[in-house]
Amino acid sequence: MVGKPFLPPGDEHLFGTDDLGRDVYSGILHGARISLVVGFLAAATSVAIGVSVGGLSGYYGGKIDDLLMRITELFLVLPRFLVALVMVALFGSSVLNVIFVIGILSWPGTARLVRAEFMSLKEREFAQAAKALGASDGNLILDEILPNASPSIIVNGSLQVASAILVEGGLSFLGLGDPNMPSWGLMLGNAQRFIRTAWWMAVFPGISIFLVVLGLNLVGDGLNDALNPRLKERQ
Amino acid sequence: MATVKAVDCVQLAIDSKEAVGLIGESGSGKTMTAFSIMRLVPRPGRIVGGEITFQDRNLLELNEREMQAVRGKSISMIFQDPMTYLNPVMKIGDQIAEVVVRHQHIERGGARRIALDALEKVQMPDPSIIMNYYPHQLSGGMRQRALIAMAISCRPSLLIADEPTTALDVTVQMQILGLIGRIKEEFATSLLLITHDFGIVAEICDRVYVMYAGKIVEGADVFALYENARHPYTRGLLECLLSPKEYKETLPTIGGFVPDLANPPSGCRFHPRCPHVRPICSEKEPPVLEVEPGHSVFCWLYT
Amino acid sequence: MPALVEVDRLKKYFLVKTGLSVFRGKERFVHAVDDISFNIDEGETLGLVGESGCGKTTTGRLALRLLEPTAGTVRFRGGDIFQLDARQLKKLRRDMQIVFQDPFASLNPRKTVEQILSKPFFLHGNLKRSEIDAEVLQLLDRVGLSPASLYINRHPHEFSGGQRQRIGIARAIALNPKLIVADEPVSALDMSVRAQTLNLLKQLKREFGLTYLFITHDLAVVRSMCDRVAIMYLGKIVELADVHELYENPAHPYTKAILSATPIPNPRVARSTERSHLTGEVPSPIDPPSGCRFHPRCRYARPDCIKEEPCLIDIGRSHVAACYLHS
Repeated sequence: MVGKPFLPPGDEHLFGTDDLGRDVYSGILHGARISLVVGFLAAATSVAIGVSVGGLSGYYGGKIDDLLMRITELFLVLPRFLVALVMVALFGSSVLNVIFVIGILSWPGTARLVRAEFMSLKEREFAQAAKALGASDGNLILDEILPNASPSIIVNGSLQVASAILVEGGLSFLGLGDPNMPSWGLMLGNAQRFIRTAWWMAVFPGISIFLVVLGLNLVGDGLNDALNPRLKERQ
Repeated sequence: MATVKAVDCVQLAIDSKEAVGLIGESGSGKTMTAFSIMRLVPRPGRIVGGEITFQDRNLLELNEREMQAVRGKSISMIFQDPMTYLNPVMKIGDQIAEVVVRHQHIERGGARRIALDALEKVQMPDPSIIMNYYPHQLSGGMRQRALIAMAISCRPSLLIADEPTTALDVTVQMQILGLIGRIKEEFATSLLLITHDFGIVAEICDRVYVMYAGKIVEGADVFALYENARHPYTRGLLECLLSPKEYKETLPTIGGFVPDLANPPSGCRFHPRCPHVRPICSEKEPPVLEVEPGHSVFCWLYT
Repeated sequence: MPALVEVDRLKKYFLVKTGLSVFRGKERFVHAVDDISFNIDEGETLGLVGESGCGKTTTGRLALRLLEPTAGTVRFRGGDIFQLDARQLKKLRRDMQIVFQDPFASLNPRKTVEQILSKPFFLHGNLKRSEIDAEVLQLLDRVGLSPASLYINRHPHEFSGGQRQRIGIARAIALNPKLIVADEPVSALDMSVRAQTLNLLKQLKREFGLTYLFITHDLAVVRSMCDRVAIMYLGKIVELADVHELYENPAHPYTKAILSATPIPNPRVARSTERSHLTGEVPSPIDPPSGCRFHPRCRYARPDCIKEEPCLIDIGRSHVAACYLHS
């Protein structure tokens, strides 16, 4: 929907229009899709890598653990946002690239968490009992340990989504996101020049990012409370 | 005389220099009774009625500040897992001294001397060195000694011990029980010992109360209870005890399971599992009956 | 007849990890199990008794090959269990199972009872789903959780400690093992529940012809459960005898000490029995004392005791003790 540019929020355009006359409200809705898709897919990538690395490291220990942890630490040391900038600048800024870049830089946090969980869970008596029954390593990891680590992983995952949305927002803000996809970050970046004259161009995307990230953090907290106390029920 | 009455129609009395055992299994309410005396009932629980008379005052009428003056000074408590109750980032000597400073308003140097004295009284090896150790540097038995030292540093009139030796090795357990017995004598401290292990009660208690599902079912001096238990639950419990002195082929047991306290059985809470149950048992709760001087039972068999 | 289980010069040392390996210097070890040998005959209940740090739990784990040894071996029916390959080991696992101490930690909290008890059958054998279901119901009945249909879809947190322990026992007997290692199976249970559980273990032993390695610190339980008893201290076996012989004629000073320290539930007897009090605590298994490991706490210690460790000396009546008092 294109209207007159710089219209303030009103009846026809709920959140007003931007410098090119585009409806801000539609932009928010379309941007939501991108932010959420990128957020979830990036978090999924990060969790997939993190669980694999952390799980193997925590379960097998020894040299495998040493090696994988050194790699993890290497990635941890890299300043995430700067590397994201560089990678996107080098490899292009399509949506898939952005997802990949965020995912590949966020997994170390998950890996360390999963490693700690696995190290603790594999010594627990129910895991030892399964081993005594003749369960293979694969069975122990997938059938016994992973389900018990999943509350932590899920909570961590929801926080990763929030974090990914912020990184994506930041990249788009700096103009490094996919220029073909409307994104809240892109809208924010665009709005910089007009903050004093057309405040609605910045405020609505900004509030949207804020609400989604806050909401995801609260979901994470809520999941933490809901999923974990069951383990402590009968004391 | 210090009389203690706790909630849920639980009635206990502890004399000075007396060691009273409160024995019960999980879910009997024994730990909650102890917390009630200290008014440390964790939320959302709270005390809803009754009286706790201590040194002529009803503890339930004190405000929190007055109660804080009582805890640690007149009534002290020690727990099963000392590590949970010792501050991991403070040296032992400082932790004990802190209690002393709080209650006796002496300066730190004097308080540290009292702390050292307390450690010596609990026969801590190398007490002057331990003063500067952190809890994680001590073994389980030593941590329990440190906790006891903290508890007696202000010479309380009543020491409450909640399963103090459950987590300890059997030889260390004997040492700690002996220590607690000596403290009782030397400082004329009364003792409320909470445990599920009748062996411990038999070793150091003068009188015993038996709890089941939140209620006291029997109270007597320890010899009378062992030799002449009246309540069917007490009898059942004593029969399933194992002793290193004898071999038992099949162990007698009490049938059934401990009830859910959110939905306790009507009337006498033990009636579903009682071998002597009668109709009235499921209808009304039994009143207390003194079958002999100093020996009371809550059971319809005796009215 | 050869014993069902032969433990031969078994050792397990754990490396103490402190700091970066480059700065560590000489490595230090926890001598959890330090050269022990014993047999378990078929059909008997052998008690393995000791306080914390004695190595009894580690021994139990080694006997089932849940841990790899530092040295020594365990033979099951003559075959060295540490030489088996993965396939043979899996087959062996049917014959040896474990019951744990903590009924809260020994069951997977996210699984239902049915899932927990079906697992042994899924891992071994080719039973159909319906056959497995039938077996599971039968197992629950066998351990006294009847009617079984009430319990199969519940999760562990919905049961009491005693009930959870029964489920753990059901899991252990699912595949009809020959040997069960019971690691403090009743220590975490209330007194009345303890009695029920011990009765169950005795009953199952009769019904299934089981052999038990019964690990505990409680000499009151041992008296009524075990046929023979081995006493462990700091990774070593210090005494081994038939149960009645051990209680009538304890030979090693440490055995006497722990017998003396075991509470007696009869108040008159308890207060009139003479006790020999043991001072101090068990030293660290990282740097055990030289010679006889008990010598720093022993009232009978002699110069010999500090110099050289005593072997298990035969004092007759199938009774051995590692103490120079008997040489």
